[in-house]
Amino acid sequence: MSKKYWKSLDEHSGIPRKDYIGDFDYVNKNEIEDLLHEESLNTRSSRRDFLKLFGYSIAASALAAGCEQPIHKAIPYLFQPEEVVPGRAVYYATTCFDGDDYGSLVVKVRDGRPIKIEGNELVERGTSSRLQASVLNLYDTARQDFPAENGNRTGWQEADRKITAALDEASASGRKTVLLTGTVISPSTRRLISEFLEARPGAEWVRYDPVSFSAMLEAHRLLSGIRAIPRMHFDRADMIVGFGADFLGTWLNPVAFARQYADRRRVSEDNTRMARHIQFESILSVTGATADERYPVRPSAVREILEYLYQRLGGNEPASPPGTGAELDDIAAELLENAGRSLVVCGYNDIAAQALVAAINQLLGNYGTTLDLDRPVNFRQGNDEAMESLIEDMFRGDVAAIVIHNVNPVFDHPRGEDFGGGLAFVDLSVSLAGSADETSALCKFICPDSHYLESWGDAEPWGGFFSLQQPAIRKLGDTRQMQESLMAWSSGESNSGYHEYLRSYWRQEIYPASGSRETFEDFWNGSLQSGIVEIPGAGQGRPSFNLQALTGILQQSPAAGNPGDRLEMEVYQSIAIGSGRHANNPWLQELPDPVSKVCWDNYLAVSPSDAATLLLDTGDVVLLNDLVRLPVVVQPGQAPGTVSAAMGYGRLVSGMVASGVGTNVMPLAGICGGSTAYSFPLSSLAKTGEKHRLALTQSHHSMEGRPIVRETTLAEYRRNPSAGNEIRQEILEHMYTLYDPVRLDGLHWGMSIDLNACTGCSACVIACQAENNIPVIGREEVYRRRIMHWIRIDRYYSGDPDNPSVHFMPLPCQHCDHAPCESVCPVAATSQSDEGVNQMAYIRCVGTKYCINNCPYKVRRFNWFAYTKSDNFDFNMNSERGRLVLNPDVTVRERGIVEKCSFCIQRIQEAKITAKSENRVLREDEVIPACAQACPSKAIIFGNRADGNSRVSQLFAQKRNYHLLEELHTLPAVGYLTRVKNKKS
Amino acid sequence: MTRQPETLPGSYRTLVLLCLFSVLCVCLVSFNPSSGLREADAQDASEPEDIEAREITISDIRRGERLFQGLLPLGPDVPSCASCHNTRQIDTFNWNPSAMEIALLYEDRAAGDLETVVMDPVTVRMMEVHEGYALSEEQFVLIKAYMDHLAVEGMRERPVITNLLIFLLVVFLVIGAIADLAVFRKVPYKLVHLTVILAGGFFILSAIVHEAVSIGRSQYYEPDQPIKFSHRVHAHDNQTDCLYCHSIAEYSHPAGIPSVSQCMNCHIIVRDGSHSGRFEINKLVDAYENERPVRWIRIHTLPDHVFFSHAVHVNAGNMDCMECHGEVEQMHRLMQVEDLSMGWCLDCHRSAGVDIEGNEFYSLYHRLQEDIHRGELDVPTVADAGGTKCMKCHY
Repeated sequence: MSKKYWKSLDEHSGIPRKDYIGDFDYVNKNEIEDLLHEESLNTRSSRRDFLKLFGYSIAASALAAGCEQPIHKAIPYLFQPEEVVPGRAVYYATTCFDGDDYGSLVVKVRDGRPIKIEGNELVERGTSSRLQASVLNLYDTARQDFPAENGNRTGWQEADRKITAALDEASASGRKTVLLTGTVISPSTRRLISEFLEARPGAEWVRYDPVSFSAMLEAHRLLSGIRAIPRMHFDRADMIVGFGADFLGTWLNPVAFARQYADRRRVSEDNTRMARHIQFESILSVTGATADERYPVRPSAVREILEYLYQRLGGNEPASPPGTGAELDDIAAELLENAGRSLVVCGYNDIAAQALVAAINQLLGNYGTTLDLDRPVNFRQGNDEAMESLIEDMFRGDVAAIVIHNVNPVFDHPRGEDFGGGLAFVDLSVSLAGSADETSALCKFICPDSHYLESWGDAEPWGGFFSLQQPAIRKLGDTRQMQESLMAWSSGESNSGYHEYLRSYWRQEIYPASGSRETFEDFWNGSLQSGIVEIPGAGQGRPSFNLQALTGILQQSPAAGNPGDRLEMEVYQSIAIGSGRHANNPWLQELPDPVSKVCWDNYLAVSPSDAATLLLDTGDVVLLNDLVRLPVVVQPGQAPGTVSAAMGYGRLVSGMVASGVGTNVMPLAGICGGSTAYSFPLSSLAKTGEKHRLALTQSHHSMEGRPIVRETTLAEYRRNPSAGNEIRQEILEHMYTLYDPVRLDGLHWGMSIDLNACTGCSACVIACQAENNIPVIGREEVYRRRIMHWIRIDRYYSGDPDNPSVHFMPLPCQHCDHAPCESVCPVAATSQSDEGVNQMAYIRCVGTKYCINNCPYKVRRFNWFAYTKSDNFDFNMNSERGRLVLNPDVTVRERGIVEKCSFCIQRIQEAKITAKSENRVLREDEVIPACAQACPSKAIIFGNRADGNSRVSQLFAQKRNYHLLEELHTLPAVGYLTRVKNKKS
Repeated sequence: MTRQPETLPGSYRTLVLLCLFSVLCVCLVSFNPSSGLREADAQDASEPEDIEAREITISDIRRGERLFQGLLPLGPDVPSCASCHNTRQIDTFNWNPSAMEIALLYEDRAAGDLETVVMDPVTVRMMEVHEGYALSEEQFVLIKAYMDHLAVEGMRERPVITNLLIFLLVVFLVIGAIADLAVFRKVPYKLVHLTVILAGGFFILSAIVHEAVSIGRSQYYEPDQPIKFSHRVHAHDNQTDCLYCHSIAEYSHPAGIPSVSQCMNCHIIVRDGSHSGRFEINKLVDAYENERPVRWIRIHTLPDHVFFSHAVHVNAGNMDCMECHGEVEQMHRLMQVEDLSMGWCLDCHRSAGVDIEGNEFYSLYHRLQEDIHRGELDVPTVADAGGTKCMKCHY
């Protein structure tokens, strides 16, 4: 290995571990103090204690012997529903759109409870971590379970009566009634809203997105006349240039983008065509980490770069290129080379930058190929200016009534406090929040919306594509879905419910447009079953662009001046928490950030060089603009001169989980040129001298500098398919054994992980957690390195700390054929199955932890406590409702035992049982572990190695394939494919 | 609905009997059921009055109880009510409804209804068994008073000598013997001490081992169910196939308990039971009509860490239900015959063959087929196909 890989800055600089926050020694010392108080340290156990214990155990066993067994009741259905078979799961297609993430999903329902989310294979093959975790939101105990007036419980009829009266009064008064929602992509709901607006004179609809794309929408309106976000096709692009757009992690529709992106970059010995990706960004996002080339830049410099590129592509000879470290002329040349097969995306909510990007794409002829404005995506419709004027109107007293659905501006708007203050001037404020939030706390009425798994609905994520949403469980609380509330308040007469409304909408609109020849009933049932309907429509036309307008836009929004010495701050969405909508989800709170490996907090990422100048270290608390206090994380790859922090943290009104976690940074952001600016110069950054302990999982599980991640470049790979993996040949030559070969017959499970496709998005981690009943342990326990995830994403850096290469490596149990853990277990609780699975019998484990110590991959986890039904771990497994999410096919582990990845043995067994029962061969696609199923880029492939034709066998035969620490002769069942970077030079 | 005490090993039966005898003596001395009724008896001789007009007194309840128990005459040569309708919890299976069940059923009804049902029944079976009873209206009021009392108070617990009592008795005996040997020295013969200590110690150890092994197991468990459903009547007398009711055994992990609506497929017509008259079937009809699910008591239970699929055993294993559940078709009251222990599962997995020729699934198992081909293996067992590996059942 010529390259040096490192996991933390200390490791890179060779500094021995010091006593800083979150590190090993520090934690260790504390832990021992916790466990052994001074008193107990000074006493010795005597013969007397021994006898006491002895006598107690005899008495206990005698009592146990005399105890009667509990009586179990078995209560069958009164009327067995036809589709419910106890013990078997039913799957329903549905749709989730919470305002941020869209997913066409398949919900696994077991005995009437939705327990797992999968992607609808007809649309996208995977999911994101937030979509995976959305099922837990259903069972959140913090949900608002009943309508409330001024915080007191009320009935729906009572609430409806009062709200309708107040709305009537508002209409009569001549003042405004405002319906404030997030983005609405449901066509039937849009019609419903228009009916509501018609029924209420003076009513107005304002849409607001916490992560605004207002500038992009506006830029397209000014240039092409269409206020829309074009649909992007990364799978058609050979050259991708991103500017601060984390499109593989959080930006717009990452699940679809990750799939498309990975498909275009999947190389094998037969196919060495690969898209090239260059990323300019200030934060180190997973997209930047996955890119072939990454350039850290200040957000304010992006416009300059774009202008240069635009001039260049337009054939002009611009002035000298801005200093970014990137060869912009080469990039421009490459873009031109791939004209029509390239894609430039920008994530900054700055109208000038967005207009420039649109113009560049137009110059390259990308509209019509990689960008589609005919069928634009509907994910972000918020209008920042309308929101601004709404706040002004509220203060002026122009707003008589406001109905707020699915948004929480008091928390996530830069002027949240003003919005909250404005609400006081509104006569009637109604929140439809499904669980209490900062905005609903200031509203007179809360009329809780149902969870998406309890509701009917539809969605039009992009033009001509529709998906349906159907309830998978009866409502858990006395909630009512938003549409029914609107129906109740728009028409006086009783209505037949939203389900009927939805059907009639589809009968009138979608069914005729679909050109279906079936009857409507068949069409409806078919659509419900598949979840989607695609309307055949016109092909992609090329929109007419008025590039002349660009000059005007650029002049109207002057460049944000040189911030000089001031630090520039960028507010971003973290992979787990996003906009903070589902911050009360413990799975998401405990998901480590793929890059920084911090969970249970947000933090200020500072570049190593700035940290050196400002004398900051990880864990130092700083005060920003005298407003916001945040702990610092020294983040390699953060652009020098910039700092960044995640939004969505610091919820004040939410459930137990999110309260007091992190700090809300949105008050720092401002409005610039009519749109919310997520990057801005910081006026002050002061060190407070305090320390904050961050739940870092970074120094956990270090692999101590062995050749773990292997990489090469595309050019090298074309020359030699073993490039980067040469060491494997050497290892294989030295491989011999004294033991008998493992006898495997019929089935030999294996997993291949493509490091080239993995984006670090962490969907697999949450999918595994949901599937395998993995407990959440909380910040304190994460300090002690006890995180329970069965699959983790290891992250390695290499190269320059100011702009390192980043490598993600998903690490489940390797299921070694010669497993070191097995030979040290004194009770044979872990052993090799005849299918190559390293099996773990929990009931037999006595918790010696020898296996954990002997595992070279550190994938085994120990249950230090009973994480179920314990007030010390007050997360989802501590409430009756939260436990409904548990998978009944997986044992909930007891305290004091070891657990680890099982290759989703419950899925393997179920598929085998089905195949045996049906007297047929097991099909390859029948067994998919949760991680592989959730992976949006399909980096994880699982299958039967005993079958030479299976995909996993073929991948294992690739020259890129290697096994972790193969030189130890553990014979892992997990193989990794060398990472290939499409780099020039 | 308590669990049956399990039979003790034969070698200690004498000891147990001895203990039982002594405990029974104590019980008999301290417990006299009729002692509280003396005063009431004195009033019996007094003038009868219109009982329906006045309040029910304690003495009425006592008289009702005596009538029910047959201590006061009911008619010529007829058995007491309690001889069929048990007033205490009993070990054995009784087709007839217990006094408690009747009491609960008639709790909100008048004494006249009870009289009609007993004296003027509509079903043939009731006519047969209630023939010859000559009870007055007043006596029914008394019986009803007792029954109402019973419905509130509940049935008396069967006096149970649990294993724990015996165990503690032996422990005290042993401690006593040791104490006497070491301190008091009252008994001159050391052989007595030695015998008590050795025998007692052996009993204590074996009881601990026996009980520890059977923790979580419930072999021979045979509780009374809320409806006296007889597998014998259904599966043997009426030849109903097991899979008619337990149909999901072919598709799913559990065999499934049929829903009430499924029972009603037949019982919408069949309303007279061959052993229980209408009483038990009426419970089912009541559950159906009032939408109250039946709360059956679960008998065959595996621990949570064991995953067992009926489907694979029934389909791929071609197993008969009886192989694990015993002769269910001979049981009126269902009993768990096997201990359902892991050793018992493995015994079968090590001896039972797999259908390697007939089941396409095993076509993957090339090595196994080669072994058979070479004659090294005759019929491969489940174990040969990996059926004894932990992950088959534990995950």
